[in-house]
Amino acid sequence: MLESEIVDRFKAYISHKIPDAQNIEIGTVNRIFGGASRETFSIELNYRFEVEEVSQRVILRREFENGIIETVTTTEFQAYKAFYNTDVPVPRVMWCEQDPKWFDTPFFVMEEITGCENAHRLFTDPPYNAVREKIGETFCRIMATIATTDPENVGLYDKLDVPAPDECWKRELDYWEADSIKNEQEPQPLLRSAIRRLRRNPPPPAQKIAVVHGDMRACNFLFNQAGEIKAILDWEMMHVGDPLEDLAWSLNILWSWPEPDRLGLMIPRERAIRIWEETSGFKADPEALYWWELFTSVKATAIWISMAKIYMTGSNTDPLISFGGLWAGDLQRRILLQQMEEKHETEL
Amino acid sequence: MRPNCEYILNTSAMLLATKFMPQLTEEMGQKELGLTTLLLDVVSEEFDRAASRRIEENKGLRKLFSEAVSVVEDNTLKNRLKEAADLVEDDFRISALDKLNTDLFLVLIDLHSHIETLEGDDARIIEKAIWQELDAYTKRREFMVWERWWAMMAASD
Repeated sequence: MLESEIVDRFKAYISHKIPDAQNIEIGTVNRIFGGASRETFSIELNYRFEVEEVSQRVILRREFENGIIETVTTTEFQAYKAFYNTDVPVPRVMWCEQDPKWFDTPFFVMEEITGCENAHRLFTDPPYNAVREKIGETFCRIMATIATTDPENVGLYDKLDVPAPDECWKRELDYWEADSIKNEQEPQPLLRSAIRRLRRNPPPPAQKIAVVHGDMRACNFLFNQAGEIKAILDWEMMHVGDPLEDLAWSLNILWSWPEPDRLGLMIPRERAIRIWEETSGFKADPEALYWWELFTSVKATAIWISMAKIYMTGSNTDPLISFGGLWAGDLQRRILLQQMEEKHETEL
Repeated sequence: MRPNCEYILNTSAMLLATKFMPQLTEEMGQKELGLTTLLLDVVSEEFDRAASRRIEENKGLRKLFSEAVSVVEDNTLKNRLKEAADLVEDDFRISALDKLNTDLFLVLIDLHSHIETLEGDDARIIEKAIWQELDAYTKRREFMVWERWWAMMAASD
């Protein structure tokens, strides 16, 4: 959707949501680069409410007509609501809409947090390389806090499917295997081999059923030059499952390329794991963690395969989609091979 | 003139990047056009190697299947391996090579799955050969362009 279309539609929507608002004006609208499952716009909103002049920036996230992951905005909206005003920083959400009359697809609106960055490549150069370890430590503590959050306490228990501790791995693997089969445009011998390995060597049951962010990694949070994390974003794949899943996902080398031993280009891998263990009280058993790390490469590969499909079939021609399918797919294949060969060598 | 695709794609990408991209004032548009130029580079990188890569890969898979026939215990799979090992390229268009490549990889997946269940040194030798093939498969699909992507994103900060 073009920025120009957003202006009139959002103005109408605000009139509907805040009927007493007067002099509603929509200022600059910027589409935010990145993200393959949602279209995200930063919008300047001005209006008068009673005697007060309100001016704020908000974020509108709408589902793509052809996104890469079958998620619903309500899941993401519920996550933000659940963690608002907790030790897990998130923006305040405002509205969530299913009615297509406003923006053709479901969407939600939340306050924008300004003055922050999200790109992890900034960690390699000044000024952010000076604070990257501090940010990395905070990131690991927040990840551990999410893992120790009781889904019931934040109102998520009845909104999400809750697997038994020994079913977490299978549910996730079944889902992403089916997703990859549905979308593959060519045979995937390496991916199939990894999936067989995962099924032959299942991990131990989850230590606890936990909230899993589902995409907890570099680039999915906001940080500033003071080394603070102001918000954890991109909750569209949130679910309940094994807490090791988020840790493993954050450690995937794709997010730390070209410094593979530094989580998200922030802190050394071993320190990251230690902080996560100390904060959460969970153990990251190396064998179990290996299983989940290999799984994350399977899941990521499935996502890149779906990106390649929707681009090559013409259902979404955003160049970011094509590039995700190409370069992320290429790097992920190299990572998957490395993970498989390391283990293969030790077993033979 | 005989079109030199690599040259045309590189030149077009350069033109977009140097002449048109700076004219865009909107960040989103700049990044999308930047990605589009990289896509042209991807096609350029792939163009020259496309046929040889596929022919080399298909040849390697057929050789592997020939070696595996005597080790495989399942008769249906044995027959599929023999048939696949006899397939030859008679159409050198990329689409035709891809079709053959797809057929061979489907056989490889079943062979790998079967070999993993067998005991013995012969099975391990075939398994090792499969891993060598998967290693080559991964290398053949590598693109250099991601380094330029990283540089482009860093330059835009």
